[in-house]
Amino acid sequence: MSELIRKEPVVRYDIQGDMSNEERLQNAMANFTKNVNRTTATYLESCVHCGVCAEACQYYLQTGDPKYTPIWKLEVFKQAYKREHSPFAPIFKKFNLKKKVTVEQLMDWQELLYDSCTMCGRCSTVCPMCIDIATLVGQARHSMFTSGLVPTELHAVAQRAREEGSPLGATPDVFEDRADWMADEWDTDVPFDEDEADILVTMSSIEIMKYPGAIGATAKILNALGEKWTLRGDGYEATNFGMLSGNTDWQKHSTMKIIDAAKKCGAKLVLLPECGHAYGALRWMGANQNGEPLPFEVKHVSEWLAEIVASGRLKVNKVKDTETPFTFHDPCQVSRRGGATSAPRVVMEALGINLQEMTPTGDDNWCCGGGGGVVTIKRADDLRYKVFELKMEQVEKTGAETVLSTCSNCRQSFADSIEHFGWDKKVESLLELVAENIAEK
Amino acid sequence: MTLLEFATGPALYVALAVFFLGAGWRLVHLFMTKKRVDLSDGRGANETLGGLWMIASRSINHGPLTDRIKMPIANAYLMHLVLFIVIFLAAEHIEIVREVFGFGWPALPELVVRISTYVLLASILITAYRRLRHPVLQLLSNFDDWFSLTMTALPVITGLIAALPAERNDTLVAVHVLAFNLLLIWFPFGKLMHAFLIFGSRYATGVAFAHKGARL
Repeated sequence: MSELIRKEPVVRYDIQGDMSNEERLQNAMANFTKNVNRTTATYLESCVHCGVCAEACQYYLQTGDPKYTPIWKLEVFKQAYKREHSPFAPIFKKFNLKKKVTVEQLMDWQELLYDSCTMCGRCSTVCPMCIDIATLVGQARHSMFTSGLVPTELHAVAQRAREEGSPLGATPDVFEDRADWMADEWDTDVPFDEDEADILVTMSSIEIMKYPGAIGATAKILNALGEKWTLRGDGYEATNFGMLSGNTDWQKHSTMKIIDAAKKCGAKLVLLPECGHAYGALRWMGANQNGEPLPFEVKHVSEWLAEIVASGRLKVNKVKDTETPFTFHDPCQVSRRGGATSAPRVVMEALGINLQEMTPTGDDNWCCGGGGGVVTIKRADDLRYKVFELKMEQVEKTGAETVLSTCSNCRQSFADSIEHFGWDKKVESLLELVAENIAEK
Repeated sequence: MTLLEFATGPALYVALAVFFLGAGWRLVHLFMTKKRVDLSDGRGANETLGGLWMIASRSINHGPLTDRIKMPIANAYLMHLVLFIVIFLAAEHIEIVREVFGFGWPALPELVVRISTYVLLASILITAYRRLRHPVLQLLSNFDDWFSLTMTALPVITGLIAALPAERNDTLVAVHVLAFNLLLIWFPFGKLMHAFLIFGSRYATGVAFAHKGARL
C-alpha cells in the first residue's frame, strides 16, 4: 500500500567516496549493527504504527506529506533490524519476510534523515510508546555517513571542522584575533591560552564569525564575577558537525579537544556557549566519548547565568523598557532534550523582561527548523522556510517584536528567515542582554 | 473428542505454549542485547523512578498534540479499556481461566460485557477505517498492522456470534475459542507485543529523560 502513495524524491542524492553500492550497503549495515543496543532494539521493536508522531512534526504539519512522519524516517533501519537483529530475524530472513535494505533505499532516505529532521525530539514527547526517534535518527546518520550518503554541504562543513578546527573558518588564529577585537570592543579583558583557569569558555563558530559579541559579553560577566577563566586555542569550538553529519570519529575528535584543553588548564567548569547541539555533544555525550566521567562540570551558558543571577552573585539591572514585549525561543537541545528549560526564564525574570511566551512554549516549543545541521543544507532551504512559517505564526501571536534565544544556531536560522521573508522582527542573544545590564557595584 | 474439547484442550495448550515461549523469547532477546552505558553526570534525579513515572505519565500526558489527533487517541483508549473488560472480566472467560489455571476472579454483569464487546467491535472498525483513509497510516501500515487487527477482531466477532443463540451452541463456542487461540499464537510475532514492550520502551526513555532532568 505504501508503494502506491509514495512520492519520488525531488532532491538530488549526495554521495561521497568511490565505494561500490555493495560496499556502501555493507558499511551502513555494519555500522547499524554496531549501534544496536538494548534501548534502540526496544524502540525498534515497539512502534505500533499509530502515526501520532506525525502530528508533532513540523515537517509533516507544514507540508501534509506523510513521508515526513518521524518514525517513517527510520523505516529502512526498522527493516534492517527486523531482518538482521530481531528475535525472529532468522525467520524473516529465511522466508524474505523483510526484504534486504538496498542502497537505493538509503539514498531515498537521505532527505528524510538529514533535510527534514532537526532531531528536535518533539515526536518523542507524544509517542505513546515513548520511542526516542531523535536519538534513532542520530544513530541512523552514523550509518549514512559510513556509506558516504551525507548531504554535500553538511559533509563539507563537518570535514572542514575536522581539518581546520572550525566549520566556518574560525581557526585558532582567527579566534584569537576575534577575542582581541572583542576585548577592545567591550573594554574588558579576554584571557587567552592561560595555563591555569577555573573556567574554560568555549564558543560556537557562528558566534565567533557572525556574533562575536558573545565573546565580549561572556568576558564582561566573568570579569564582573572575578572568575579565573580562559579561552584556549586548542579547545574552543563547541559546535560538533561530526555529530550532526554522523561521523563518530570526527565527533569524538571535536569533543576531545575541549576535554583535553579543560584538563590541561585544570578547569573545574567548561562553559558552553549559546548553542543547542553543543550542549548535547559535550554535556550528555562527552563522558562517553572520553571513556570515563568528565573531571569537570559542563554547563550551558543559560544554566550558568541562571545560577549566578539566582544566587545573587551577579546583580543585573532591569532592562530599560519593561513594557515592550519580548518572546523567547527555546533551543530544543537545551530545553526539551537538555532539561534546562527554566534557566533562561529565571534570567529574563531578573532582567524584568515583559516575556510573552509562545504557544506552545518551553518543552513543547516548535524548533526553528535550522537545527541538526539542516541550516547548512542548501537544497533543504525551501522546506526550512516552509517550516519556519510555523515559528513566525507563533511569534506573531505573542505581539513581540524581538525574539530572544540562547542558541546561536537558532539565532542564525531566525536571522536568515527574517531576511528571506522580509519579516519585521529581531532576534537577539539573552547572554548579550545580561552583559549589557550588569549592575554597577 | 469434540471440536470444543479440542479448542479448549490441546489447541489452547499449544496456543498458550506458543504465546509464553514466543513472548518470553522476544523479551529475553532484548535483555540479551548489549546495554548502553551512560557515563555522563546526571542531574541527580532518581532515574529508576523517572522510568517508572514515564510508564504511568505517558498514559496521562500526551504532550503537545493538535486537536485533530485527540479523537483517535480517545478511540485507542476506549479500545484498550473495553478489550480488557471483554477478555478479562467476562464470566465465560474467567471460567476457562479457572479450569486451566485453577483460579479466577469476579466477573462483570453479562450486559456490561456485551455492550463492551459491541463498543470494541466499533472501535476496531474505526481503527481500520482510519488506517485505510489517513495518509500517514496508509504509508506506515504493513502486514503486521492488518493481520494483528484481524486477529484481534476475529475472537470479538466469533464471540458475539457465539452469544447470539438462546441455547449454548458448542460449535460456535469452539470457533470462538479457536479464534482466540490464533490470537495467542500470533501475539509474540507481531505488534500485539506492544502490550509488554510498552513498559520497556517507556521506561528506557523515562530513565534517559530523568538523567537529563528533562520533562517526563
